[in-house]
Amino acid sequence: MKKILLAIVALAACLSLSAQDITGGVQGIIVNRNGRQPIEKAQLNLYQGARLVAAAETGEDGSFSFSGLENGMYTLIISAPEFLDNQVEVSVIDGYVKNMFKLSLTAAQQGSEIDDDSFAVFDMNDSGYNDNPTILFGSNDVFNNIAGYNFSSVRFRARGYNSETQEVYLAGVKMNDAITGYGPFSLWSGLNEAMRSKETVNGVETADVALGSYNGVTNVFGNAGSVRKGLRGSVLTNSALYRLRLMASYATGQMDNGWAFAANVSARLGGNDWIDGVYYRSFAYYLAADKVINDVHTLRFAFFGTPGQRGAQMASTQEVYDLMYDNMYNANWGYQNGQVRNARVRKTHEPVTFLQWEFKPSDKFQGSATVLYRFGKNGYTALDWYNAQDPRPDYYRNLPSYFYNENPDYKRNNQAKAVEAFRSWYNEDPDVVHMNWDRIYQVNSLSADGRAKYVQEERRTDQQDLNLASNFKYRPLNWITVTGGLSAKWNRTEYYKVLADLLGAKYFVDVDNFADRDFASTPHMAQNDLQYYMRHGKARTLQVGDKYGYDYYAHIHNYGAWANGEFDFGNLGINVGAKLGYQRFWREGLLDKGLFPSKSFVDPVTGNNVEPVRDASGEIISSYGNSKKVDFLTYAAKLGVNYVIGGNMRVYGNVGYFNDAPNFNQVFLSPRTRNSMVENLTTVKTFASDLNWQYSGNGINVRATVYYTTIKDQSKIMSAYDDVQNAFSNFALSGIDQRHMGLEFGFKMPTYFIPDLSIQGVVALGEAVYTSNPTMVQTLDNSASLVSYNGTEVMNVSFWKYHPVYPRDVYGNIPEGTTLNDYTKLQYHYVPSTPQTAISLGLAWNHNYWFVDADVEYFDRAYLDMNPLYRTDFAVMGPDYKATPDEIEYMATQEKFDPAFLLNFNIGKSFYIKRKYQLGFSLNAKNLLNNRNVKTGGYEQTRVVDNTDSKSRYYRFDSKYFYMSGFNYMLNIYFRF
Amino acid sequence: MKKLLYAISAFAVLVSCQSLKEEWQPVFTFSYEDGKAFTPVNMDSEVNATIAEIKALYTSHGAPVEILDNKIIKGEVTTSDEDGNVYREIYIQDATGAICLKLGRSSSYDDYKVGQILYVKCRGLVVGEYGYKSGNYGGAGLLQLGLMGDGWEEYLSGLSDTEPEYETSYLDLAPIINQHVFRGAILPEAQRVKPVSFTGAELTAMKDATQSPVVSMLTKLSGMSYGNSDNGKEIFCLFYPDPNLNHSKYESWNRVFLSSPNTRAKGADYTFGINTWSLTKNRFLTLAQSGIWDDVEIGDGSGVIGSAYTSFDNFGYEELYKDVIIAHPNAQSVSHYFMYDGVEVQVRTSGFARFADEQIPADVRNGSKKVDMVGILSRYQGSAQFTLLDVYYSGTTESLIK
Repeated sequence: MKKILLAIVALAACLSLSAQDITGGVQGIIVNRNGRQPIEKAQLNLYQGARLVAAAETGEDGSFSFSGLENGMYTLIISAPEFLDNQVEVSVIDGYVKNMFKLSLTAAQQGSEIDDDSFAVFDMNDSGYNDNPTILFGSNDVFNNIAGYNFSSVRFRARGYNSETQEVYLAGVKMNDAITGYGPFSLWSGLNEAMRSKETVNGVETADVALGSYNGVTNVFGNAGSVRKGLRGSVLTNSALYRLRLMASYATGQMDNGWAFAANVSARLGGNDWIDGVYYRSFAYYLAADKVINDVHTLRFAFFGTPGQRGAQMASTQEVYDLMYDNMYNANWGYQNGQVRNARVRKTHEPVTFLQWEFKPSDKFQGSATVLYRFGKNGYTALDWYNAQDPRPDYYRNLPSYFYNENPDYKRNNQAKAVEAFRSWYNEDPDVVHMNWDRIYQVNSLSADGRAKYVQEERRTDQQDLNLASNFKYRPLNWITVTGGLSAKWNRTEYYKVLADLLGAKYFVDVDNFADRDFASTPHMAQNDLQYYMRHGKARTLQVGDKYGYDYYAHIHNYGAWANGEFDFGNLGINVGAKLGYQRFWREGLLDKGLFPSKSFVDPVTGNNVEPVRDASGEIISSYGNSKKVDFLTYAAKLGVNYVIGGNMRVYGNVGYFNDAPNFNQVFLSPRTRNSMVENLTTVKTFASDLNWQYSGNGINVRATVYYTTIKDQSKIMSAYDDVQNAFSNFALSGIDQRHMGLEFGFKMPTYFIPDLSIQGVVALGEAVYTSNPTMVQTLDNSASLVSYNGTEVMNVSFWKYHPVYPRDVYGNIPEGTTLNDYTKLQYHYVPSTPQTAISLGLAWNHNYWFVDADVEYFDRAYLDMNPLYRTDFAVMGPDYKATPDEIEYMATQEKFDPAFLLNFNIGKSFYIKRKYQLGFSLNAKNLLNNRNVKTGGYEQTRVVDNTDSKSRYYRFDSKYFYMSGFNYMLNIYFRF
Repeated sequence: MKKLLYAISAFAVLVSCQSLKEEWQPVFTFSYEDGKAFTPVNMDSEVNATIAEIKALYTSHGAPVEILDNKIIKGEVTTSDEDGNVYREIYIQDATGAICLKLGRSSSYDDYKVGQILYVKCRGLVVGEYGYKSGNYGGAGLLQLGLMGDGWEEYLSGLSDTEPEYETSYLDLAPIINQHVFRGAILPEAQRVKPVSFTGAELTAMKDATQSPVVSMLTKLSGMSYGNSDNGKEIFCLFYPDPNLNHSKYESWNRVFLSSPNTRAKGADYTFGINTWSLTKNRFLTLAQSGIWDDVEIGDGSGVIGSAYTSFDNFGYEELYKDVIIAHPNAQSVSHYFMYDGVEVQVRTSGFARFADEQIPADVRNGSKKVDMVGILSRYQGSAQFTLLDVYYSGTTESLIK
């Protein structure tokens, strides 16, 4: 009997255990990673091994539930339209229902084709100015979705920040240029399919791969598994940049054997309707493979590059544009024996490869480690000349204004020459208005012994960039998520010139033109390669392909660690994060330059003993060898609070403090010639904050943001030829402070009265101003001494932050007797190169795979980049050392661009053929009003007219501008298998 | 599928039609052919005037002459601005004489080679004079061929009472140059103009001979000895302590003459430490800082007003001349005095010349050696000036400056 009872109990126990087994389950809510709003109708498939156990779909509130699961490990694959698939490992233990709480999906980028390719290469003539725009990505953020595309035509910068403050990652590795901080988008331009999948956060928000900065984080996945499955091809024609783009991609998706492969190739070719001489001959390739080894380990590998050439566009003065009746004039090109040739061509091929290991030992922890290597060449051609005329057609001495100015103080009163100059421009004499290549060849061919007077050089910045990055995400408790990571970057960039074309000559000579001019009797000083000169007693002769001019390494070592904790208290979420970094960089000169020899030597020609140049402390100012190493300890901290109201609405805010190192190119005074650095180097201190309100539901998407940011202690180096010093100069600015504040508002909502018709718009209202007067030191490439102005070497840029505005009479003149203190207001100066008012309003209709958008845009309060020299006491006082109200206003005023209205129209349609193929097109027509007077950037020339009649004041050189293209279109025809 | 391929092909063909346009050229040009070669012109049949005839048009001082006839001259280029002592102008010479052509372009030697034949269409150009001074201490200047000087048309037509400073102006603009100046063949070395020599008497004789054929000719002066006619040593250098300021119109004090005083002492050294052919910016600064100019007399055009340590009111700032000079270093032209066949000749060198920093050899400066010079014989206020192109120890052929 006992045995029977025991058997019954055992059976009952077994049955009860069995019953307990099938009580297990999984539940949670699927949300958008950006915004945390629930995602409706997301598809969930639950696998045990390769076996599909269950499937479900999320409800309106994003919730899902699986029940009746046995104990064990499961793989949950989540997919939703417009989002990237997500895969989560789930364990069911002891028959409990596992609550996953919020599982997030990352929005797949759609629609906009905005990338580095969408922006013309602006040739800033090595001035140090930077007109790089911010590239905004949609990521289902209504503001970015609309602004990213519609504002790209005016090279909009989000919140007025410099583009380098936008952090861009690839596979978890920060890719911003190690030297300049600029965005790395050109590395993968043309690989739109391969790099389509990315996640983006805005402003001060924290990302999964990094704590980030204050201008958003974009992480491009770049692995095979993130490329959309299938074969895709597209043909695109574009009237503003390049004529033809051919692109194809193929991706297998995740296969049963754990492999995923992807490939993407493209070619962008041709010129455009607007800017002559600008062309593309660019290609792109991408190969990638993923291997899911098991539930825990995944490997990802990719290799890609974008070899190509792009002709650049040069800014010109308004006088030149007016002479040509064309604001799209480009001075960079001309005819060579009847063929179009651009003097300034960007030639790049910088392959990137990475290997990523992802590690998911449990559903609570996942980590990854990536090693990424970037290498190759980055070249930019330009004309170089020795003891010859400036070949640029728009050189100021070739223009009517050089001969006549109605202001007699300019002493330009030869109307006959002005008329003749005008006539040759008016008639568009190709030898005058374009680069005269034939003359250049003739000069070279007639040169004694075949020595080149003109050559085409290629300025190279070749990077070797090795990165290690490791990130993790750990969820010890359902309400705590910890992310963090470590990173290391070793960058060695070689700066040098290569002789690209002798232009018909037989050889060139490796001497410094300016030094050769100034120190002709001491030939060692003109030597770019002093050691060669010491061995041979003469300068090196050069052939095509030879390095010359300068050659140095920029070494940058970066190490960083960061961590962020997210605390989820139901509707309330808080995140706190911090990062710590160490940065070291230095210059290593590879050439001993005659101006700054590394040691004493005996001149082999003159027999004279030559001593090196020393600074005030007795240290040798050397061009050769290692500079001092600069070390910076950097840190940042962020706090974010997020509160969800009623499921569809949330309010969130972020604050952050950032202590960042300056970039390499902001530190060395004249890296082409020597190791000298800016004194009193310091970090850039930024406080940033934003407060956001977001609503997403019922077809309505709204985001409103207010932000406030202060940036202090920035530095900047600009270079230009200085007419007062008759030498090539470097202007080093220190202590630039800025304040950025404003609001962003974006919305998209149904019109309700017409089905499928939505109204959408964005407003960006900002005020980004300078809040300090920096100091400036000027150095000459040819001299170790600082330039002294009226006995002062460290100059205050007294009118950088603002300038006084004086009263005007009815004729617009400042009344006689007005003193410097009689100003009516202080006019602040604005952070330039982006409109501070940008508004877009439009309608969008989507129906049956048709989309039609029409938008009107308004841009205002865009300002020209300021040159510091004009804002110094030296410039406003003039040669008589007396500042007048008129001089101050004339010199210090910052130019404001005219406001602009634009009208854009987009239409597209997808067709499904036999339920297997998809064929579609999109046509984007921009600037339908054909407005050709919209300035999108430019700069003030850093030189003054000093030879005046009155000798009491200086005048500015005319500023140079870039203009937006007139009406242009992009037609994209695509097919997918 | 076929339709799809047809559509894509049609699109590609449509786009490729654009290849007819220039925009595609750089896309498909992987290496460029050489630019068009230089082709010399031959306008011998059109030449209808000589340089002497053109110079002869200038008949009275202070009256630049615009050439209204279709005169075409032919001359050989004798100078190069490569070394920087000739700047923005070239000299052309024919069998009848030579003249300065005011091109107004820097590095013109790249386009106009020594020994090259130039044809100049003179209609619309002006013959004018530079450096004329009336009176016993003056004389004729240098005749130049250029455009009408700024303001002269108004002055000559009576619209202005103010006589402008320069009778001719530079052609300056490439389209203007190309309307008047045509490049012919480059002569072989053996066929080129050889420098001519003159006697001291001939140099003296050209004082008032406005159209003198010897002025502007490629010249060789042999056996020149360093020093002036008082057996002293002398240079002349005029500079402006603050070059940003006017020196004659408003601030007459803003002038420094490094030169002998009006009553120069016999045998004295008035070289102010300048032993190079001229003063580059760096050399200028070195000398200014060295103190060697501390005792220099600062003049205002009418007399001595102080020395380097004299202070003056510089627009409200009390400053020493020396401080202002050091604050504004610049390259300066220097004239060294040499004796040639009993005649004093100023050998003028620009501070921007490549040999400006070359030392005049000590054995030349101390008179133990003489030199032969090749250059352009010029004239300023009746006196012979020599624009140096090359210099050798007398009787040798090895250049001292190249």
